[in-house]
Amino acid sequence: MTEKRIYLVGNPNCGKSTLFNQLTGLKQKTGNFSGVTVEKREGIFRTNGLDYTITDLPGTYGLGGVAEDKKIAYEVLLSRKPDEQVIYVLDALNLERGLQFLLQIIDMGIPTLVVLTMKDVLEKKRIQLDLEKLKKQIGLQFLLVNAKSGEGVETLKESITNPNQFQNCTRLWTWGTKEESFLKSAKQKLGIDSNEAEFFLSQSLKYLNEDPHFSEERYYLKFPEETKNWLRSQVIGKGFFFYYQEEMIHRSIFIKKVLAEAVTYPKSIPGSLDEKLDKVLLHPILGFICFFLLMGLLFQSLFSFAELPMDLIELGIGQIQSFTESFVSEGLLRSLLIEGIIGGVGSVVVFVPQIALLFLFIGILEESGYLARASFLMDRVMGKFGLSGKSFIPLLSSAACAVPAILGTRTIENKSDRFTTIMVSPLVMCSARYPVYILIVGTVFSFPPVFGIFNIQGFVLFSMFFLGMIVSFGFAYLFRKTVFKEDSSYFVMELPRYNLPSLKSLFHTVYGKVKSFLSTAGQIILYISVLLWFLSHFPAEYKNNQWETSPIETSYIGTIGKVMEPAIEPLGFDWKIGISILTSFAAREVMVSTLAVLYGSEENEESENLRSTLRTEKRADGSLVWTPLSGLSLLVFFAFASQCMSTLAVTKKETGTIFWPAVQFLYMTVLAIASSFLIFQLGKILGFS
Amino acid sequence: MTIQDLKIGQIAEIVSLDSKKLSKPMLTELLELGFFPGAEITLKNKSPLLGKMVCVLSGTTIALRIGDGESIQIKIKSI
Repeated sequence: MTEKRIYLVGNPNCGKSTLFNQLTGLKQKTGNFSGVTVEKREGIFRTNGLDYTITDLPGTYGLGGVAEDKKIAYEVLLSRKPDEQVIYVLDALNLERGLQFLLQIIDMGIPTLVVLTMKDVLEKKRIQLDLEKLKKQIGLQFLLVNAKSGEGVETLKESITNPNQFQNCTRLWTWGTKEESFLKSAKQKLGIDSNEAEFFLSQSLKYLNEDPHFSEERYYLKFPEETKNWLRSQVIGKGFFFYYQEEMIHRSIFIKKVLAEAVTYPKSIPGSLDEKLDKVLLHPILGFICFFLLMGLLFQSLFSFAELPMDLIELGIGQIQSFTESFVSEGLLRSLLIEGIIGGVGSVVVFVPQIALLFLFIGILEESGYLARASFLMDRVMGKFGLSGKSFIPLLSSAACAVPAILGTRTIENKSDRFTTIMVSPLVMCSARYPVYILIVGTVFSFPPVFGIFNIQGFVLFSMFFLGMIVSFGFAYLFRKTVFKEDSSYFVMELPRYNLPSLKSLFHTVYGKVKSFLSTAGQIILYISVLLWFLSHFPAEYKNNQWETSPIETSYIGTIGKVMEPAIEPLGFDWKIGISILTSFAAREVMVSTLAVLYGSEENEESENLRSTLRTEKRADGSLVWTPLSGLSLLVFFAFASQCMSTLAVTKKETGTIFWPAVQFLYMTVLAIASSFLIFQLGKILGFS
Repeated sequence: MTIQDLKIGQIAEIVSLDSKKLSKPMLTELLELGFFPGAEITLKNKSPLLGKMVCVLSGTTIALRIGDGESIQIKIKSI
């Protein structure tokens, strides 16, 4: 069976992903492009005994960008094998911009088939498109498809199997007269006749002209020394306009000419629904009201809808554990399996419903076109802290988990903005902090409701969320003013048309995100929880044909806890809390289970049992360990400390060095220790306990 | 004049982008979204409270900060 590779290329919001899902169905896998973490979606499409691997390249507007996802699209196309082809997805309502990128693809000499999407909208808006004229002018095959309903997809599938449908044409647009005549003579002198070689030549010319956008040396370096010298002597100082900007202008002239012939717009465009919606949603007051209502609804449902599946998963994990118990005889292996492996992995799996829900909501907001409007509203606020509205989306998703949030910063073109967002995302209260906060708040703030209605515990939780947001904004400002000073923030964003999200593509997004969350976060937690299991059960002795493990007090981790106790005493913590802080370095929620093990009671943040044990815990001098003051200090510690291996791992991947995760870990830890110390010591001076 | 001076509904043609004032990533992004000399631009909405303006360029709606607009020179085409 032979296999062929086809790349799906196009602008963002052009319906590329929906088409990808239509073509490949469930035969998809996600991974990364080699060397970078930009998500790579691949699917198999099988027909007539032939396998076609379809790769969905990140949507970009052109090949000149520096954002990770743009760069990768460019690199992949550049290093493609000669027989690999491109399906170019063209949004019928954004023809001008889409054609601009298509012409760049043509210039690279890639065999291409064009698919026009948004057929339904085209009809609704009464825009007439003359496909035959387009085909003739561009010289490629054009197919009309409705990616959402699947109309035209069958024809597309047939076309894919026909190699004649993928055509290769020569550059369609022309440079200015001076540049064009030079190109002609240079091509003759150097014997250049293919599209691809001409692409290399024009890239070299832009390099020699020191184009601010496309001055890459590599094309130039491909030419022999003699040619390089000749090119230098011919180009430098001769006043040629070989620039990316110039290229785009000339392409645009060509595109305008084509469109004038092929497209007829209706005489008048009536006040559309889009405009009415924007009047409300982008309104400085009404817009914010809608925004906060939506966010409130989002968080409310996040926690209420996720509760049942989370309980079910916990129940299931318990079942698996007791099932294992009945099969494996008591001893080290059983303890490793049940506590180390199943328990450890289970602590991650339990967050899947919340993460799936969050991505479902974000998916709906994004596909409907609202997310761009939310960024629009938030930009002013973010701007005050040196960020742009684009950083708002990752910070919002941090409220579920910083890992996917950091992955989501890839769409931010401005590197300083992107790195700042990565550095401060983990300060936002994530779902892993919830179990910890609920345990602490429930233990130390067990007061009756104020005025009979205001629940102080709910208030504390809300304040913690607010605290996380404020501090992350504050640190964003600090990072922007000190380390990431270059390229002040800006905001340019397309406001896409409002759209009804497609169920199929939502399902695929959520499925893909959950899968990648489980594989990145899950693996690390597995290793760490096995290590923690070892540290909390060893040293062990082999006696009477079985292993006798140490109780936690005398285990390695217990010893470490005792050693570190003097260091954490000024923060108001005892050695048991110290250990739980150590174990929760891997993942915050581990704190609850550690305390449960230490106090030998049932493991559950809701359990009254563990709380009442904690409330009576005393120090050597007889004073209580868990007081409102030490509880507050612990809350603040967990709000700021960098206790998440997965976040650090993903920061390393996304920034490409070990340096930034190290900085992230250090600044967050120092902040946590300093704030806890201040709160506890000041509180003591003021006479609180 | 710059796009800051446009009134709502006015159609203009972009004359130049000030590459000294604009940062490189922003300039690239603007170009690829269609902001280049010769392109036709319409101001759709302006919201000083949010510091934003919304323009339409060849059928696409694009939002940007009013402050950044001073780097985009235009000439009015019609009213």
